[in-house]
Amino acid sequence: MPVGPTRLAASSWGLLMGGVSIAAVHGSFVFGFFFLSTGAGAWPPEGMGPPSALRGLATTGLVVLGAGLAALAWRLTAAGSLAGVRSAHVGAALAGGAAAVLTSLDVASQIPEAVEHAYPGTVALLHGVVAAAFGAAVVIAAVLAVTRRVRREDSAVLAGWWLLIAVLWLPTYAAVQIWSRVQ
Amino acid sequence: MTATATGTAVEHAVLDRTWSSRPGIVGWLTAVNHKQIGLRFVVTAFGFMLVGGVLAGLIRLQLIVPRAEVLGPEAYNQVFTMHGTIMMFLFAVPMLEGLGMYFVPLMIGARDLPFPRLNAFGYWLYLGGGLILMWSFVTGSVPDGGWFAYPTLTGPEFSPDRGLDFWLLGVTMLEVSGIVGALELVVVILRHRAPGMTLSRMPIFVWSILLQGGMILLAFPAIIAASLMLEIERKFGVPFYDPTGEGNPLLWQHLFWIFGHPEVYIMLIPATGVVSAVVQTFARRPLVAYPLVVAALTAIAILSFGLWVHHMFAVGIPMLALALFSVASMLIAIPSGVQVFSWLATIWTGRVRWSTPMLFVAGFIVIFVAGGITGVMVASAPFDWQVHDSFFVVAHFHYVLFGGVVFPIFAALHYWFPKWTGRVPGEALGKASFWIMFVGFNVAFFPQHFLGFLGMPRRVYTYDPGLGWEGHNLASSLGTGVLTLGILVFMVNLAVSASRGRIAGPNPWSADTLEWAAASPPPSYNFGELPVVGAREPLWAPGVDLDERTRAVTTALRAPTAPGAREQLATTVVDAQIVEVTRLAGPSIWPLLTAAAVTVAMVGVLVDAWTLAVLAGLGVVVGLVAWLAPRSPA
Amino acid sequence: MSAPVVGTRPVLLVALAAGLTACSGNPNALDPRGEGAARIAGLWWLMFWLGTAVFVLVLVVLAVAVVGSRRRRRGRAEPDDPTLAPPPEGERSAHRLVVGLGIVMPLVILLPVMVHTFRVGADLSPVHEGGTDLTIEVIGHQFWWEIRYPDHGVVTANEVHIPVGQPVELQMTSRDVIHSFWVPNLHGKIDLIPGEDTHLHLHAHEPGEYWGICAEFCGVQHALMRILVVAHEPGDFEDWMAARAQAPPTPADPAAREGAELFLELGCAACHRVAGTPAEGTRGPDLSDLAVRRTLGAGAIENNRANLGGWVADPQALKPGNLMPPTPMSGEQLQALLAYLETLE
Repeated sequence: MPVGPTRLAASSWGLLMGGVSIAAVHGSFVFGFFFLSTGAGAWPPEGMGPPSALRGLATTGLVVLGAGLAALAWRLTAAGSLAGVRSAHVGAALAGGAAAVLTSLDVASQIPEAVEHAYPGTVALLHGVVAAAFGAAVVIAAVLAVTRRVRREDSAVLAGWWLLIAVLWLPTYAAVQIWSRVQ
Repeated sequence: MTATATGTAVEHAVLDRTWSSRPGIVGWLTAVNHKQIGLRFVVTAFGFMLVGGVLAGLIRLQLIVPRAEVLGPEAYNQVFTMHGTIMMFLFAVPMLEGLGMYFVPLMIGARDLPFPRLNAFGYWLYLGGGLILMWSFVTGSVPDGGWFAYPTLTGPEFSPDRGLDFWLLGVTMLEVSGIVGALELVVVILRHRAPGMTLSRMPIFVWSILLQGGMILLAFPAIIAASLMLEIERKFGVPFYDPTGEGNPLLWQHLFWIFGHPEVYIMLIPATGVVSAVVQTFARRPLVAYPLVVAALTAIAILSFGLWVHHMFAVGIPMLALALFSVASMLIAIPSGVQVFSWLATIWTGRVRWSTPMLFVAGFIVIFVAGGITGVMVASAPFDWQVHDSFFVVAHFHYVLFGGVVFPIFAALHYWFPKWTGRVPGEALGKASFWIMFVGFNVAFFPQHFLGFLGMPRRVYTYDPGLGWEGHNLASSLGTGVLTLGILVFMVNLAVSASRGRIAGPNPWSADTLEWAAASPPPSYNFGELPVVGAREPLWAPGVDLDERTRAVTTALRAPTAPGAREQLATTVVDAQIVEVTRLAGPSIWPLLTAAAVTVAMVGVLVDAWTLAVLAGLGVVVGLVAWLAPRSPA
Repeated sequence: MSAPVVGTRPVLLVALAAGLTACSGNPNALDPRGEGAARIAGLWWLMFWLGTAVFVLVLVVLAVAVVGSRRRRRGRAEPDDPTLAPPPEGERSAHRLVVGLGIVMPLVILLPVMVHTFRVGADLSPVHEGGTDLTIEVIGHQFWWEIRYPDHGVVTANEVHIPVGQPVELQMTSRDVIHSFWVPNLHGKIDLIPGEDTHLHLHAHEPGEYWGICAEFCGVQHALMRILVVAHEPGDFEDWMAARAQAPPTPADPAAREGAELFLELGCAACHRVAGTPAEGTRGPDLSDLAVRRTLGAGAIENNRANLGGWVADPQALKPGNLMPPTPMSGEQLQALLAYLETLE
């Protein structure tokens, strides 16, 4: 038969469509952040503020690292290098794990004041979505590392997921870390 | 088009063994076949429609005379809330997605949806969400905030009991289910069309499902996000919508209508897709102005995301913004007009057979145009200040949703019944059911326009005599009774025809699309010889000459190329050129278990059993890993 | 199939046009007695006639199409061949029909509707503040309306009194959930939103009593949350305002005096205010002019002694779900209380 069996066409498009919806949920929260800011007196209010800037920077670095490793794994599958792919998967899992911890700390930092004002609640929500996405990235990378499979469609899932993380993180960072401070 | 099912009996037996669900109850629980899942959606949604219909009957019974005491105020508020919720979330969207799941793969020459297990998961999630909503009736804490659930009324302070939690959690599950189904349908349409079925040869119904899917993927997330925020506010007191904590109740309205307005067209677009299919079949000629109709559908899908503020004309938004949204809303009349006159021109230049589906379509055109005209009226912001949230609007959206969506759904059920059962439904009862429904509908809903002008707001459980509202309300209630009778006749007709109807054969209506090339009912694998398409109306066109490569591929796929491999073709997005052979997943219990875990987690949140919720949440992760994890290399 | 439709619809529409303009006294958006309602009714009649024209046109095209299709079918003697496509007939004129009636016609129809929408909208726009001599605050509560005249220090409930012949600004907000102020004969509606201010200019043309109901679902008694706008001649309005600006007289009748004490002792004063007395509650309606209001319970029942007694004894029976609890009291206490309440004007 002139064509081989893969699932790349379907799975990559499926991931794209799912990613669009997940990004749209997050986008709704971002919309909420800005919408509430326009009606509120001060955003953030006196005595409250965005989570640690250092953690924000570190998370941004981990997003770049994780996405880079996932992309690397995707490249290496073409070469069929099992060891290389596995190392990249393990690395991506570690980056995702670290970022999940950092963003969970961001969420935790906002929770004590969340019942008083919409700002910390919204910030916690935005970071919560990203933290969950990091968690899922860890699970995916771990499963791939354990099952020792070198298939393009599997690595494509991981790379696509990290792309989604970048799409979720960038507006979060821009809204919370940058926009909150220039207010 | 091509040859239909050819190949040897042996090949068919192998294909059938490969694609069939397992036997028995286990097979039923693990089934992933798109026809089984799609039919489950259709049947379940029809069942929920009956529940919603009973609630509608209760509403009209309470309003039949002034100061009636059929329902108290609490019960009435619960009943109209659940009527709207069921009809929107449990009936219309799942019904249309179910029709898409069943017929789109057949119409595009595919063997299944690309993620069969995800599809099964979507159904179980739908069932779970529906059961959570229905469970509220058992507990007595029935949602009572209206189908659009505006805070602050639905916030923790003014709706302290669990009713709204049932609503928020149940509806969120339904929306996730909707997204899952849309994802399937979009991917199957873009990547698994029969070779040669370029975008410009796609049936209008497939176009409509594609657009519906895209809209679901973008619109449903907004209500998921809004519901999550409201549930967090209710459970933990985070003031997203509470102005005392700098939240804003209008945030809900914006998010809800960013979902809610496209939602209208998410229901309407596939309904018009059905209409185009039926008109084309029964007028026995290709749809007039196919490219314009596709452009019109696309325009509606895009425009519908820019109209949400027209549900918020009375919240004090500056006039300039209102004017822009007024204009955008009115512009919908143009693509709608293109569709209406395309159908009329097709009828005019065709040779129409007035079978039952065609009657429903003609009734649809009349009612839909009336609802569209009142739609342009309510799009005019100053006029909307008068009729917004009045019975005029109730009349308007029932013209659009009952006339515009339910009539086409009934047409579809009658039209595709032979494909499901192998038998043609009876015409006499079918036509009778149409006329009874058509008369009943108009008697029920036309007078409600007057009530709106006469100052009757929607969602009032009672009214006083002497306001001039009695006659219109009485007519409306009696009309509802007639409408109910029509629906019963329709159901009796299908029930009788399922066993006594004339044997259909593959193509009882002499229709043009590929689902009519498969047997009735279709085999598990749909097509033995995968169809190759050379025209927009493949069954009305002569066969195509296959090139070497295509012939080699379709010949090879007459049987699985490896034992047990469920294979279908993946093609390019625009031109439908073969790119790969996709192997699909087979039956699995994990979709059911994962959906059950999601349901348990939601119930845990609902009853504040947080340990249970967390454990079930972990169960979801385990289920997903078990279901999705690639098998280790042999 | 279209024959009965063609026959009955225009009749219904004419009935609509006739029936809606005839009656008076009841709420009716098409019987305008104020500037807003009049302008909107004008917009409606424009859209109504254009819409009717479009609807009739569609029905005519459908009828002609059905007849044409039937003739074409009969013209072909041979049975339909199920396998071959019918030749597309009249493709070009069919296409022209779609473009002409589907695109050009709606554009032509929509243009005047849009222009008129802009003009009426700009003139009636509810968000511009000021520019009126009188500002009234309307505050929504579950399930009643608090009405304040800040320039006059007057507070009342469920009745808005305005002078005719001039625009009056209503400045609205809500204390609890979203409500909507809608008096169809005078103007369209505007929502009352907690944490936000909205504005509506009422401009009554003639004196009268105009009824409306809360139009945004606001909870269990949304149905019995009515509002009455009373439009007075300017002189009468001045008199009304002068009367309201004074606290109700100290009751002379002994029973009423006892009732005044009971009003404080039984806890009524925790929620209700009566001007000039220690009763300063704000949860429920201000009762300073209760005796001259037309209804009880925001339009739930007529205001007379029997109904008032029933209401005070068990508010939940007459308007189930309202926020006023029943107050246990003896028969004599109730009579004394009623005697007092009837002096509040």
